[in-house]
Amino acid sequence: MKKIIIAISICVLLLIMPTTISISTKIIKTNKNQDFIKENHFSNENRPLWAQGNFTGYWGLNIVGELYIPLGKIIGYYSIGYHSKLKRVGYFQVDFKEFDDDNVTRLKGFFWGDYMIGKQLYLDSENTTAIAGLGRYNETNSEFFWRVMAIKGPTYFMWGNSAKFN
Amino acid sequence: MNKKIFAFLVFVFIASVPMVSSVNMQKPSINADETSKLKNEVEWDGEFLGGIPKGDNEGELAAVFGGYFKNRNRGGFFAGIWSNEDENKQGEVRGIFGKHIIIGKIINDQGSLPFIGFIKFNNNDDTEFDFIGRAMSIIGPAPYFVGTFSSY
Repeated sequence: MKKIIIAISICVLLLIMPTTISISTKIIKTNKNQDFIKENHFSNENRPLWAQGNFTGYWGLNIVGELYIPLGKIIGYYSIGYHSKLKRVGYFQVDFKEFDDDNVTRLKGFFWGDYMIGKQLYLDSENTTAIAGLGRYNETNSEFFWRVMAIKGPTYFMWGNSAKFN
Repeated sequence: MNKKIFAFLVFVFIASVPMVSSVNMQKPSINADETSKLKNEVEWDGEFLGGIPKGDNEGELAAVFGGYFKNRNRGGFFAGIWSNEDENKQGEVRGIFGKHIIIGKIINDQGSLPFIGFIKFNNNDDTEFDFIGRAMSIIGPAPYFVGTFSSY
């Protein structure tokens, strides 16, 4: 009898594992969290002169590009298409914040179509870390997804929605 | 005295293990027939050969790549082929490189995937590799790669 209970327990454990993984993925894919959009502190009044729009969303760990573990929120500005021949080239600045933590890390860089390069700034020092990324942008719902990495360490994702200033 | 010599030999042996394992990395090789079709595309400045070490065993390569490059002012562009024997996959790789950045596309029968990464060129002779880097696509791992190149 004991053996049967142990066997059933192991089966249940194994069955739960993929379920847990899929649930964590689903959260980030479906939870739009409108309250974060509302608390967006960016506005037309205090935006940088170069900014054409802003974006909000989430960042987190990205395991093999398939599993998304949200770690915090992002808020940023972007501009795109300064030059008529470089319509897909843009500039961005984004602030990262962990959930329940007020410390902010800033990322600045350029994107060109699917590609992005930039640097992570540490506000308490002059050190910077180079970053590179790949992304997708859905014009229909203004949703973006970026995968980002540094020369070492894990890969991260940024996901959210953008809005163009009037 | 014998004990000291023995201890010294043991120390040398232990110290040399990582060195030996890195030197003994599997040499990447590419079928020359595959790259020859790229050879006449432009007047290339040189050729490269590299591989992606397996994460769990640095001596073996998960994939190999090789091809040709053309220099420009602060970088250049390249075209080559890649092969993953374990998964029996192969295709082309094309892109541009700068001093520290490499971007491009990996292409096979099923389509193409963009990739981006970092690259560092070694100017010293203290390593067997001429370049080392890390790249990723929109999905999949973000592996390190190493390789050599020779200019014509």
